[in-house]
Amino acid sequence: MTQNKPFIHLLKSPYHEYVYDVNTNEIIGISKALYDYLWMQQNKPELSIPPTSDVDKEIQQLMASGYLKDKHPEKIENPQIDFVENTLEHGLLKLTLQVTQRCNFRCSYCDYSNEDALRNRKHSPKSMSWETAKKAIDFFAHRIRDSKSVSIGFYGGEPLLEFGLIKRCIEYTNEVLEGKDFSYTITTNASVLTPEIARFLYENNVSLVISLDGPKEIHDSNRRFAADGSGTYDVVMHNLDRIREEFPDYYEKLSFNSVIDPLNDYAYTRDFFCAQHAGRNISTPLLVPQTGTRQVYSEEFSRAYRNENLLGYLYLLGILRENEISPLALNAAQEMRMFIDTHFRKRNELPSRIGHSGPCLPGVMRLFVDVDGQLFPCERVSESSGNMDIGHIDVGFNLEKVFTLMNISQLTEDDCKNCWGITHCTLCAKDADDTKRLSADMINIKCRSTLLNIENHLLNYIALYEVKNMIRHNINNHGGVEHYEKESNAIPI
Amino acid sequence: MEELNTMKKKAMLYPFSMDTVAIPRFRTLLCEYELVHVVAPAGLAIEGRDCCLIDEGPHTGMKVSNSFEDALEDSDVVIVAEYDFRNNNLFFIRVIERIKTAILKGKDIFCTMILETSILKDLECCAIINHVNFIYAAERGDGIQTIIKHNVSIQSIETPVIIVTGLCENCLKYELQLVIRESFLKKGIRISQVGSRHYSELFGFHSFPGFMFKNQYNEEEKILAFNQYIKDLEKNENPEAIIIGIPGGIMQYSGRVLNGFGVKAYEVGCAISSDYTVLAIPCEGIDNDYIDILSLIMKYRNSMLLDCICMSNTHYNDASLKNLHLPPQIDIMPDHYVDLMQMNYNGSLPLYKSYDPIQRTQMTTNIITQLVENIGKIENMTF
Repeated sequence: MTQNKPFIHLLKSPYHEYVYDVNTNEIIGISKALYDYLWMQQNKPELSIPPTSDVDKEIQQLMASGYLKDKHPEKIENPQIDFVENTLEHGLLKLTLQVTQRCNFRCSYCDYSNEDALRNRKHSPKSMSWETAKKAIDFFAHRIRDSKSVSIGFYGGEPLLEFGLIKRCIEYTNEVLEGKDFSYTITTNASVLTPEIARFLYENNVSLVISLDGPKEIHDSNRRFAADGSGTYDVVMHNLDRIREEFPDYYEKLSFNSVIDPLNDYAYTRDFFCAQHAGRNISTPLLVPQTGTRQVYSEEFSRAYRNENLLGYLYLLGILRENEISPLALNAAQEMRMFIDTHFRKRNELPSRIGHSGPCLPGVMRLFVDVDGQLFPCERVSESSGNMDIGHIDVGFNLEKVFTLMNISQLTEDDCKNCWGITHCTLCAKDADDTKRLSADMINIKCRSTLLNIENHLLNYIALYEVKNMIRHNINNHGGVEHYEKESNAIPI
Repeated sequence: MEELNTMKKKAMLYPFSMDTVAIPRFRTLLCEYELVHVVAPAGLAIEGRDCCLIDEGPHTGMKVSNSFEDALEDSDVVIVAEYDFRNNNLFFIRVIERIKTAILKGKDIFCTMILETSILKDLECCAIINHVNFIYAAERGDGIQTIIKHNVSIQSIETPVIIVTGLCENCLKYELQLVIRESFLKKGIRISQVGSRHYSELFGFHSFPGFMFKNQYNEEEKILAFNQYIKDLEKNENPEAIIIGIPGGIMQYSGRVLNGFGVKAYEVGCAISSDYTVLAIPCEGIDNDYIDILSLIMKYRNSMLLDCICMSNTHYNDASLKNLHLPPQIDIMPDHYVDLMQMNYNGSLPLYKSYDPIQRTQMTTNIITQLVENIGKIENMTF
């Protein structure tokens, strides 16, 4: 029996025991006896007793198959640091222009409305000049030689308040990016989405994401006009109705972003989208509480939310069809699908040099340019933080800042080396930023909840696998799962 | 008058991209055309600069222009380049319109771009009406259609055969074929050559024969036919060396880079014995074990003994391979990064940088040296 401590995380479903093997990035079904043995080894090593012969045999079999290695990373460093400079010169993928900081809404959850000093700048009347926009487009156009497909987004405030600038940007970009595969996106509150604007966007194939939180009572509870605090639902729906009449093809391609407020009736939101926008692409981010506070979910909300996720997973299993679930459930299914596709790639073992999976390549995946031409890794970081700007369109990228943001896990290097979630972690530099400095304490605040979230995803993945097997092997007539059989130890990916 | 007859037609290349940088780089090998202009879409952002900036390979001496109209005025022929349009339908439409403009202005067309039948027919009609030549090189010629009907064995090829294959596509394999060709021709060596790309006739040699891609022939027929095809080349052209470039890669590279699963390399390996095999690989970390495994794969799967490895400066972007929502993307890596990737290899097989002019010369010297040695061994063995 090996004296090494395998780098693993134990998982348990109501039906079976599993181990997540960090080195191979696989979930393997194990016996209860082995689970108990490993649990004791990890949590109460002082009480740990030698394994039984059966458990030892199982351990040997797993080790012979390449599992239960004790290898941890030796160095926490994003390996892409070797060539990120080259990628910043030639391989940018997305440009987001902050065309204005003005907004005609004052949504209660907006980062720019928030009094929380840790969050971001405030609303302001500033807009991007044409000169700055052109420079930003040229800056981007000269750095996409290796990029096969690129995207240009327009951001605000409310971006359509600067439609004239957007129009000029699109016309210019169409010329300078001739020959490239490129697309445009705008997220808008749709309050100024006139048919004239819609026509231009339609003709230029701009992907439009409409911010719509649900039926009138729910939407208006958080999304209000800045001028008088009145609800915005009626104006938004009126504009959408006009788009549907005049540009039905374009209307069918609209996507929606619906912020889910746990204080609102989730089922009501679900029914609204089912009735009005079935089959659409709807993103449903949960409202994030202010830093240092906790969101409390009512039992009613939690039940409704979990039910929709379950329906989404039943769709993934092929039990339900797409037209039988709500757009919210479909979104849950798509998120799970993306998690499986991006997170479960087998490997022989962890590389010696690794960064945790959260950080992007700053400036490459997204390059956010604010109204003044300052460069940021994305629109979600604090624009008022000196830690997060990575350069300026006039002088180029600040490579030192880029390297720092890429390697934010070096702040918590020892913890990350021993963390089973290292290749699934979603924390990035934004989470370390307190606007004064990049801080390990800020990461540690979110670390536990992030790990719980990863574990939740893994357990959901296991549940999907078990249900799939139950269906395959047929639950017997008396109920229960007496004839449930595993086909192999490792959950197929 | 004699001088006029041998004068090549002035050609422009459009739309230029990394996929066709070999054309300006090796323009001295073009048989019928003198390349005078290279026109790229504005999105490449290299107007006024040397073509080599597109792949950071050897200097070409030709600058890129963005003006199709100006180049057209000064050209007799438009070489329409293959181009990766992705979802850019608008640009595709613009390119077709420009081809028509060229035809209407009396320019010949040499088209290497693969076109839908309806668009092709439309352009061919337009060319006929305007009395210009329209050569559609995009469809591989069948070559010699020799389908073996009876039981025959593989025929031995007496002439030394050099095979250029790749671990995957997009690692400068075609340029290596042109490098070898250029070197051999300069030394006065008579060669027959079959290229991996479908427009090799531009450079005066054969494209990989079309029957190798046709569904009506089974794999055994294709292997026998390819063997016969090379045998016929040997008889008809009487070369001192045969160079064969194989389309695709020797095997699947990843879940998203399939390389035709190495089927063509396998078939060619069954059909022809190679006297010298060049393997083009992308820029990635290698060590002795890795190269040993590749050598074994080539030996037992493709019946080819690996003689040298050529590493390109092209690298499959890891993020694009892992993310199913992003198209696979090739990055051009800086030279110091290529050095980093090679640092753990110190095996006996020569390893060259396929984009480095000096190392390209070293590779061709190695090929000739090896072949001469082999001939000496054979002569010593014959009685």
